[in-house]
Amino acid sequence: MNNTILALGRFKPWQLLLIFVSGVGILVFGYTASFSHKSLNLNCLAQLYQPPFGDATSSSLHHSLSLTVEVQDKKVNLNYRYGSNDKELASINYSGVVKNFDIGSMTYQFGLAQANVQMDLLQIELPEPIRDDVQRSREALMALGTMSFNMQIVDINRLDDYTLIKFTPSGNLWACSSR
Amino acid sequence: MQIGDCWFDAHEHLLVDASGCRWILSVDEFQVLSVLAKNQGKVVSRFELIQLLSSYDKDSLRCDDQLDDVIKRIRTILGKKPYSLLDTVRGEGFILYPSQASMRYKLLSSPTSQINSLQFLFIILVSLMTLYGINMHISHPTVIAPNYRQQIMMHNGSSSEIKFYTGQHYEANMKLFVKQMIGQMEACAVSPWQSIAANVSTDRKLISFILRNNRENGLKFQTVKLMSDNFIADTSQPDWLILSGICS
Repeated sequence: MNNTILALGRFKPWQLLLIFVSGVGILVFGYTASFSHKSLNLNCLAQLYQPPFGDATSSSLHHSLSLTVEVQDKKVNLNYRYGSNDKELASINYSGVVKNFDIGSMTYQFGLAQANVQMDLLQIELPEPIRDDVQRSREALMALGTMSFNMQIVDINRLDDYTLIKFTPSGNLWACSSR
Repeated sequence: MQIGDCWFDAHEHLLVDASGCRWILSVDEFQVLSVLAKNQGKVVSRFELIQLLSSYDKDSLRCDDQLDDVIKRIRTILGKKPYSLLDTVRGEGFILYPSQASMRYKLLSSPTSQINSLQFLFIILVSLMTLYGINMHISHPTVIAPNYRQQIMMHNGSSSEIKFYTGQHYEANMKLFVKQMIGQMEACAVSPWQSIAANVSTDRKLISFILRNNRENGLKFQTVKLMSDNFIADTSQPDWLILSGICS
């Protein structure tokens, strides 16, 4: 303790102040820089139900929708998979870039330039919201060549491997794990 | 000789302070103050001052402390803000000013040393750059407040908190759906989930339920999504709560 005080005493106050201010600056820049480029891998799974909701024997019982979010440096990949009874019926894979990351609101801004749709044509028709999503993304990509939306990390609990994300403007909410 | 508010009488070995009190200086104090006064505005090295001490030849090892004691006593006599009159120049020695430093220097002074304008401007510049950097990278956190929140007591005594995020347009249809669901939840025998967050998509065709439960072995969660064009009609019967696992 005494040694530390003696060592500090060798510096002038303005030098100590300068070191402190510079240190805080480096820490803040380092933290934000490391976070904005940090890779993110999320696996989200949702049970999907269609009307009639009261009919437990309906085919909607085992429908599922999963989402994988992969952010690596400035690249982003979103993969939606729609399945029924453990069989994958359709998947949509979006790829693009991370335009921005706002650390205050924990929001990623994605610019997606490519969408690949895979469907099992022998299967029944896709549910309407999924079909609408495909249609919307197709129109946006054809008209503008890119599709922008935000993904906000609403809640994160690393200890329990829980991340809650919200997409805008669609407003969809997902609870995800990173494993 | 005037030193600040004091008068240094070299003939009588006296220092008269602002109140008129006459301080008789010891031999060491007189020698040190005389040399500092002769070199006003200049730095006098510690070594030069130590050589003036009467004990220098006998015990040179203790002279450092002795010099500090002498300086301390002179500063005590000099009165208020003695550092602006008799200052330490770290690593070099001491400097005596004929009068108190100007306001500009007082602002930049510390108890042990001063900084010049260039150093001061440099610190201000670095501070401003740091603040600008922080401001650029940290914006105000976004708080998402639920449009509707309620704690529901179950029949078995457990409780569940339900939060609805319906978006900006909390329209009549959504109010009706929320009211209907709360009523059905209250009639629910047991809910295995401690927290239920419900979110409605912008096109009103998809409702997401985030079901959470904190257990001893960690957090358990599940996402349930309902697709419908008419939620009020499609969820009029409470069976959907059991189907989706919200109630058991």
